[in-house]
Amino acid sequence: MCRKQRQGYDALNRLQTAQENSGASWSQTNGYDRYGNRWIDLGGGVQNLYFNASNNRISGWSYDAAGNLLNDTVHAYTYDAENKISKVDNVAAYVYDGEGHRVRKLVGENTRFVYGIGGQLLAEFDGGTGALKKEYVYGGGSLITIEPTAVNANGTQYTTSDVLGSPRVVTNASASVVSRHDYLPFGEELGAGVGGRTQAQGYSGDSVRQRFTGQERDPETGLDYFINRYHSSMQGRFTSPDPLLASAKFSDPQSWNRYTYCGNNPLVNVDPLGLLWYQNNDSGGLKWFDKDPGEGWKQWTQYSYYAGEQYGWVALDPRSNHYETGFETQGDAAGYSNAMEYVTAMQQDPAHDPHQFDQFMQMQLMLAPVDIAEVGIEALGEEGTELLAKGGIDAALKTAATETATETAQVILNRAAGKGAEAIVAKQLEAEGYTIVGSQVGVRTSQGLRFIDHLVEDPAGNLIAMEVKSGGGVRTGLQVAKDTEMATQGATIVSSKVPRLTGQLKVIPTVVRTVPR
Amino acid sequence: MSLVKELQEALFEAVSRKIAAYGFTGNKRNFCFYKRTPFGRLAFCLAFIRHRDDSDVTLEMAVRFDELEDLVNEHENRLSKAQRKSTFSLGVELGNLSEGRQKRWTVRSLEDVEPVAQSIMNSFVAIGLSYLEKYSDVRTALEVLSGDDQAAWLHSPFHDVRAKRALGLAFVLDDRERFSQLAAAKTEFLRSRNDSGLASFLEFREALEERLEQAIPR
Repeated sequence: MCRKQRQGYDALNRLQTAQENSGASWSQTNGYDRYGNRWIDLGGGVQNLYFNASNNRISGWSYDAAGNLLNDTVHAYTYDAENKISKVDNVAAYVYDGEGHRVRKLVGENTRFVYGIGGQLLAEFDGGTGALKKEYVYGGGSLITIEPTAVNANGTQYTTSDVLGSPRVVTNASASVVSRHDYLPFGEELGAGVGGRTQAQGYSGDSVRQRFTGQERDPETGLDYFINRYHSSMQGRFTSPDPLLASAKFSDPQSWNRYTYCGNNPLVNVDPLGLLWYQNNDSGGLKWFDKDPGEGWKQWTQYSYYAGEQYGWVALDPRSNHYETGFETQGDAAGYSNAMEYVTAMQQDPAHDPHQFDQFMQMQLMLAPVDIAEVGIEALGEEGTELLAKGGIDAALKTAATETATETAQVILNRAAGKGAEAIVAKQLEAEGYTIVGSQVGVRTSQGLRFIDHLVEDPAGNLIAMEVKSGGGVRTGLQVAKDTEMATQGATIVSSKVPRLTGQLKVIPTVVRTVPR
Repeated sequence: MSLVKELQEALFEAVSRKIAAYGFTGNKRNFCFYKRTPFGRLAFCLAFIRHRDDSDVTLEMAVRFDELEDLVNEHENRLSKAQRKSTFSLGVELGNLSEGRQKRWTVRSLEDVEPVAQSIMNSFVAIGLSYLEKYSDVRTALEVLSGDDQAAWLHSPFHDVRAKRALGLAFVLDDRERFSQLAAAKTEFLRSRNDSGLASFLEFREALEERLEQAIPR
């Protein structure tokens, strides 16, 4: 059955109108204020929501001091210290781990969730019995769910997603359609009875959690779990402000509204973490909005440009989509650019291609303002020295480079951000009564080396690894995995510059301190 | 070579020339200076904190008792032979010892190198040498490692590591009464903290107790 959809946009690329089959199936007209608050125009000057222009909150609805929505007229929400929903209608509902992943649901079900090092959901277990309920496999742009036959007869199922990542068709091992899902632009689901959709076609519901843009939809609230906050498709906005300050870009005032979903352009942009929206490119990767700064700017490497005498060399930070200025030389900008490229690649694909890594290292060695190889060998400590003695410089470089890849890239980024953040946090920690045991201390995990910005001891004698981030910086997936290992299985301190610590295998939790750039 | 690396090496060379008079030999790879002693060795390290355009440096001092470290590392299968030789028994960051907080020097240009090196040497002579001399005495080291207060944490911040070293020193000194006291006190302390190193400490304690029972020579 053919369904023709049409959309219209306003001058700020916000979705204004959407309809199917010329409105015979459904249509929606969106209105916006100058701040990007979105409502549905119900006609006759009536709209479904009204807003307080001073803080972008929905008029008449209650919020806490941090801007979290407390009641959407259907459900009441309680938030934890990390601004995540913990209770629904005053009943304990969700539990999160230290990385912010939702690891348990207690409302409507009792389920534990297990995540992989890249943050993907891997499995669900019954919270009461511990029995496996469902496993997830990712591949070929598809999500595969496997349910033990003891749980139900679904067995293995395959989802086929659209360009936004929303699973649209679910098929079984016999390639038969099990179910289908269609959505309005901001994520409300279209069921049987709308526009010729029928239960026989598969619009009959299923047990797949992943819905709009592939995020988990909670039937108890109707909200979508976007990892860092919750999205309400009914209102077409997030229920909490964006915690990533860096996602507010000077160049795009619409991004200053911290509640809007994907710049109100939901059929083009995605925001898988609830932090920063971007556009998928043709091959499913990231497409950065202002990668090309425009006429008169000379591109040097993927993310670096020469911007003339006024700005000199600049490089794009793809995480925040900002241009970083102030690089004194072409090499500095290129080094930053390369590191960014690598970190971005590592975030997308932690198990990266070694060839890609070699290429990165080669470029770094030619262009980077710091000597990565020396950093690597230094980080390896005595092992680096042994390697150097046994296998010569090439073997030592290779091992050092392989083990310190991500860390080295991060070191470059940290340096590019300046010494400010590291030193500021050091002073903060001392003022708060921490003892700095060592700074830039290298530890070894099974996943490679990790540099602890500040290893500190709190007044109660607990050792903590303080990770310093400036601006909107966040840890890479690999860093999080290493930190998790360090906090659970432990890591061996390899920095020989702090002799009293060298060689100790310790369990140390990591805390991230962010300094505004 | 990057400017920061050049600054670090220049500072290392400058300190190296001055500290040689005290019998310390530098290792350029980790910016540490070592001096062998009849019981082990002493270390004085320039612990660099690298930045884009400059480098801060803190000073680390440490004392190694070979017999103690060999004893503690005997069952450390995860460490290579070289790594077992590189552990130290106790140590401190100079600023934490003298001022109660991390003390840093900054080198921004080659002009900074000489005055910073001299300042570092002044601190080394005034504080570092005294520390190394004081804690080279095994009884003094045992006293400080026996403690479980903040003063003791400075010298050995990991509680199970400190416990092992204290117990090991009592064993090395063949001070059985002290050994028994420490075995009980350290076990209780680690247990009260739910320390992740408790099991490892108990294993070490048990191994030493067996040796004491069997009167195995040290």
